[in-house]
Amino acid sequence: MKSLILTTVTHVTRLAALLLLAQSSYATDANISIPATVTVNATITLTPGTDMDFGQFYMTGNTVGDTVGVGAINGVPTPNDSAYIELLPNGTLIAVDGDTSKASSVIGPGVPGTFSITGAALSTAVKFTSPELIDGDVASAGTRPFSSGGGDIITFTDLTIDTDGDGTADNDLAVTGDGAVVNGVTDAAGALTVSTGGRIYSTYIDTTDNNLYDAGAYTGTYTVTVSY
Amino acid sequence: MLRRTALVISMLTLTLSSRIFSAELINEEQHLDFGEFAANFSVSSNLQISPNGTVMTSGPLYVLNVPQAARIRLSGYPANQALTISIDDFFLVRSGGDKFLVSDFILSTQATDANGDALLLIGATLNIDGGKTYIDTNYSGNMIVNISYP
Repeated sequence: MKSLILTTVTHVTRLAALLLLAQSSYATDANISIPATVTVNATITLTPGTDMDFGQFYMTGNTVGDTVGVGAINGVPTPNDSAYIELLPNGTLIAVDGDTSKASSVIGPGVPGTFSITGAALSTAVKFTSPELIDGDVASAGTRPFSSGGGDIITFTDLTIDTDGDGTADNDLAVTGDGAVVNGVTDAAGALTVSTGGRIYSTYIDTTDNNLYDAGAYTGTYTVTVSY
Repeated sequence: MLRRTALVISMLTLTLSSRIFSAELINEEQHLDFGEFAANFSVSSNLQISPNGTVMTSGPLYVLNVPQAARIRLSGYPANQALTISIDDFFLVRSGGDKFLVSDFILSTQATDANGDALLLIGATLNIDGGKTYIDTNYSGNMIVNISYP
């Protein structure tokens, strides 16, 4: 009987050893491959709305060219040789004579331009830039030609943008330096509609040009970039 | 003495039986989803999803659809077992384009409960390299989760 007991204990020891081995080999690494995804959607859709309309006006060309950085064409409120018609984002038209040119609005008020943003991030700040955007300093904003299809062109520049609907273009416009930026915020659906204004001038900047303007409708375009 | 030995053998047999027939299962319940976002890709930014669903961003990155942490359910493991869980960095890619590095994984737990189960939530960070071009589309990859215990 004693001998039998010893044999059984030995057997149990072996069995325990086997079990330990089994446990060790069973608890090996396991792994799982989990899919991971992301979608980039950085496109902002811009949709033109109402065209900017300066109404009807008289304008005569100046006889002396403007100098870059001088006069109203650069956001400085004192006009020099150029006359201009200013369209505010609320539709108000302002006619300002130059030293050697005249401009007067005949039929107003004007109509501010509009365009809409859709598909942007929700309730998110966006910035508007444009070569024609008024700089607020002595550097020149870019210009765009308004043409009647014949004769001399009218110069469009000093673009303003109202992003919060208050009728004024006071949305964090840079006061110094080029590359002015106007800020806006999209709504809860990622959309925003803005109003635009600007100025049309009787002459090119820094040229001597006694323009002769044909009667008729003058049209042109301006460009705006919206980004995050 | 014989009876006591027989009892020991019986207990060991039960243990062996438990080890052999308890299946350790790992089931994916939710893949790692960084959602949808827009960003100014001229500068670097990142998007972090924590295991509990908290979303944090740095830089000019804007969430359009909310990310979700990965969710994995473990079962059949030893009770109250400490686990060693590792995940290597990987990329979300599109064919022929730039890629996003996914790194800095955060785990909700690294141990099983009293039943040998665990719900493992995994957060991570999506990194955007400034200056690269990321077109609007879907980017995908695979996260390999390694799980072991002593």
